[in-house]
Amino acid sequence: MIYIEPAEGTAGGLDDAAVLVAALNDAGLPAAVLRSSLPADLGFSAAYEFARHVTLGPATADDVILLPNAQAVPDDRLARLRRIGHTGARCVAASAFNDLQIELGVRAKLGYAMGREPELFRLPVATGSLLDHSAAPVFGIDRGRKMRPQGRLRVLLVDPKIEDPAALRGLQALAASRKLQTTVVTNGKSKTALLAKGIGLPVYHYAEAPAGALVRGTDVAVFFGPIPQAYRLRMLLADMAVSGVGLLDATEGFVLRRIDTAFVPAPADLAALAAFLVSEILPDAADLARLSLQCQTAEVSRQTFSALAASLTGQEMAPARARTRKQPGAGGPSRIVFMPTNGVGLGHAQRCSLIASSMDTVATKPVFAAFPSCAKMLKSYGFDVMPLVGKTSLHAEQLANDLVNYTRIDDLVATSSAFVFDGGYVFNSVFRTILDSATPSAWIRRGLWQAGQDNTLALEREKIFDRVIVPNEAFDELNAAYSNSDKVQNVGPIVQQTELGMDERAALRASLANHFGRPFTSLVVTMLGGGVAADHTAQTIALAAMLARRTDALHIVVVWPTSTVDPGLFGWPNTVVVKTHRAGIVAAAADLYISAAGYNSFHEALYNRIPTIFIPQMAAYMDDQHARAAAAAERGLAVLVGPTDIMALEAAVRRGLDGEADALRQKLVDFVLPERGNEAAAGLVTNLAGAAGVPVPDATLRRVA
Amino acid sequence: MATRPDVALVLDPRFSGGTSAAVAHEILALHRDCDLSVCFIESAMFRGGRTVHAKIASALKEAGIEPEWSPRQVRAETIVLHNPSFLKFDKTFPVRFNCARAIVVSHENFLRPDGTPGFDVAHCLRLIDTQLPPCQRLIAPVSRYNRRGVETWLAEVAPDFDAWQLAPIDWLNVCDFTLHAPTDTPRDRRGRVSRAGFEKFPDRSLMLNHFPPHADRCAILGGDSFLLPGDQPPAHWDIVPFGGASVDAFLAEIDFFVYFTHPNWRESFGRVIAEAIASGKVVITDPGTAETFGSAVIASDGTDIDAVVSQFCADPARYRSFVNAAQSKLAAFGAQAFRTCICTFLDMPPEVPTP
Repeated sequence: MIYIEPAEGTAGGLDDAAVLVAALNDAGLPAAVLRSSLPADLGFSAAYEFARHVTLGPATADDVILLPNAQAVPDDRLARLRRIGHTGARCVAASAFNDLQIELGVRAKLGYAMGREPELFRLPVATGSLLDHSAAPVFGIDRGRKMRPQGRLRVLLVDPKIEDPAALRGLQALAASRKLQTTVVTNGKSKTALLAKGIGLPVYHYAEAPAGALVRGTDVAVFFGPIPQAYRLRMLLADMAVSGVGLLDATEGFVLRRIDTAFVPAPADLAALAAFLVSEILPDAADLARLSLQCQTAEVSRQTFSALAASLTGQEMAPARARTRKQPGAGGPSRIVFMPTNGVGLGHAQRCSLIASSMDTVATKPVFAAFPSCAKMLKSYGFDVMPLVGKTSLHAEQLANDLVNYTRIDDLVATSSAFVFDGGYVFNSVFRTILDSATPSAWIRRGLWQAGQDNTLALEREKIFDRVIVPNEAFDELNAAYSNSDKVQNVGPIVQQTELGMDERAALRASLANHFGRPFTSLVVTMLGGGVAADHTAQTIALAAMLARRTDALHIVVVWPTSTVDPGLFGWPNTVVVKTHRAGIVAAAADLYISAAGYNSFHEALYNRIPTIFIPQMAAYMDDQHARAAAAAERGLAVLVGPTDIMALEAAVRRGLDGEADALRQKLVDFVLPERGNEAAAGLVTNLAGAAGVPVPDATLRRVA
Repeated sequence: MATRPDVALVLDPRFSGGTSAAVAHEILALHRDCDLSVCFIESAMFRGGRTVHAKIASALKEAGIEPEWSPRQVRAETIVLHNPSFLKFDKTFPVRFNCARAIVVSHENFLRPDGTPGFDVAHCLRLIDTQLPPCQRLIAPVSRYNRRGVETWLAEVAPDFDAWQLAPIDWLNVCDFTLHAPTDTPRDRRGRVSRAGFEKFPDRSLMLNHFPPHADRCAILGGDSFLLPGDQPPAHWDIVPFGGASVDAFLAEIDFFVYFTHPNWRESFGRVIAEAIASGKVVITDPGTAETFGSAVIASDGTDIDAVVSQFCADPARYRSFVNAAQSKLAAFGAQAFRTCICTFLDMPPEVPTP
């Protein structure tokens, strides 16, 4: 194992180490960072960057310590190295070693701290190469990028100058081009500014997307300024060069071309760039790729990697090529990973299970990465589940669970044929996993957001997915478009249809009566959610009290197995509490159903023709349940009761049991609902995985560009 | 009446350890016999501006000498540059010298025990060379061990530096410490004093052998690196950061001074050894460091420390006798011996360099 010892405390030391450790692994050299080498207060972004590469160690005599910026050895770094040094691990110190004194100093200091002198890896500086760096070796990895014959030209704009209003117009022209697919990579400040302008292009800040994701999805990169000394950017340039990305120089005075003639001059004016790219570059993109592969920058990169690999392993190595992780066995079913978030209820997991259940089990094998609250349910449906860690205030770090989940899903996703995420907010773990891997991905994104909700951040992450599958609402006025991207695919409502015939329904009701020892003529089923978004205990108890007076009724309160039940619900005559994942079948047997208006329960009530009183959940972060319930009520298909209106609820139940429910059921039977989207969604996912003979879409094309 | 030697001392006064202490004593020793001037260089080796080591500042005040910071020119018959390693990070040395003799005092070993360079000596000497007129150029070692390193360096590492010659005398550290009587009841109370550098310590396992849990006391002054975050030094070590206690007070609490460094680093003189002897302690150190002090210290390979300590503890009379004898040998490093040696040498006319 190669352990990177970050130059903590020096400018960019941690950032450089994060880039280096990832690149070494990508190049097939096993590398990691010891936990003891990282500061306790590692920042949010750095924590994710290191998450997959941190190990507790300890280092052994067979390991190598790679020390970037070796001339910066403050005492705390030496103390860490002293601890590592006792293991006998070899140390390779990387630095420019500009003069003999620096070399002697590094040798001596590290030797005294570690017990043996380091081997020196001399970094090129002041050689005139664009890959010069004084702290760490700059080398590229051939990312296996494929040219896209007949396709659109994939363009990466590196830090375009956006101060001029004309530049924004130029970016819009690039966004509008049907022959170009443009992505921007820039600093955080410019990214924020660009997003605020709504330019319609995917924008990444430098640390947001790994080099592999950017390079795989790029045919030509346009540079608008000199390449800064930043290690991350130089590594990206090296990746581009050895991967055959065409290099365009849009700097003033073409300063990059003066250093490496592989850079082709391009207009600095963004307004002129679109036309230039289409007319001058697109026809000759393949030539540009060849030019890059043979350029001086690529050659320096290859030499540096060769020397570094020899220094670290003692062996000659072939030029760095991105490693490929084990893919599913050819001929077997394509493994597709579903990852539902556990929202307020289990709706995401239910929806994913419906899609997974609609897939061809010969061609595909759906598996789940799921939180504990829904793992049992998914297993009961017959799916394999890899457990994720739920968020809790007991974790010392706010995002600790997501960091663990990131490491867990990484390998599962990378070795699968497709990854499907269902949730409102794309976790960092999901975001980074998709960018890290080449696995095609889909986002199942339910709509009907509340008016006034700011979902800018959530939508911005749409850029990483290859498909966005939007399960429609049953009623057209509720289907708003939140994104104009052509990756969005709408499907009909994804809903579980309970095929319960008259005889089956009667048998079920008799079984329930027998089970609870309570004969009834009216069955009322209440399911108002887990109480996370809003506490509906008062409404449920009010219903129990009211139905206690009806001797012909059985009232079943259904809750998820993971819910906590208020003690006040027990002891009411005629009311029983049932914990089950199979609420749908119980509801289908009901004469009257009282439910929240979440996507799944709402559509199940409609599609299974269950007379329902909807009490919308009203938390600010949820979907617009009131609008959904109101749409049904306006059509006379359901009753809407406000969440605090208990008097109205009692009246509605009374009316329902006294005849109105039968009328509702009849209207539901007569009403023509849109076709369900389960099969269509399953088909889209199957196609995404390439399991239906349909070519897999170019993942990185859609993700980055 | 003979002319008093005209001497200018040139140094960076910000060294934290033995160099500054030695120069301070040297100022006090020489100013009576020489026309002494002192020039300070603000080298790139140190940061923090023009601070002067407290002992040097005190010596200058006592001697009534006003130092000059970064002069454009230094003029004296003999110019003494203390510890040329202060120039190792400088690209230029903008001080012109006008002298008949230049002496570089090699406070820092030119070569490490394994024969590799201790620092870029050639670079430092070249910087000095460029500012010297045609004059005698001497390198004065501070000990016999140090002399061997200079000799080897001149002969084998940098034979092209033939303008520089090895001085016929050792420019010894002046050690005129107040002598303290040894204890009558020695116990297994061990300690060591040094700067905080990693080179000053052997590895952890050796340190544990030298300062074991069964000792009555294990005190380490200058053990800053063991106090860094993440380190977990043994609980029985009483670690004091460098500068965290006066050396006198610290030494008063121990009976045995156990001093080993990293095996590939060595004291050029070992001023702290002399200080421990003067303080009335038995000193145990490696043979290389022991060489300067001969039979005044116990030379050890580090494996017999427990036996040495227990034998002295069992025989207090031998302990006292050993310390008293050691203290008498310190006279060879006293101010008077230094003045006699150096002034005799300075009275000799400088050799005229061969064109």
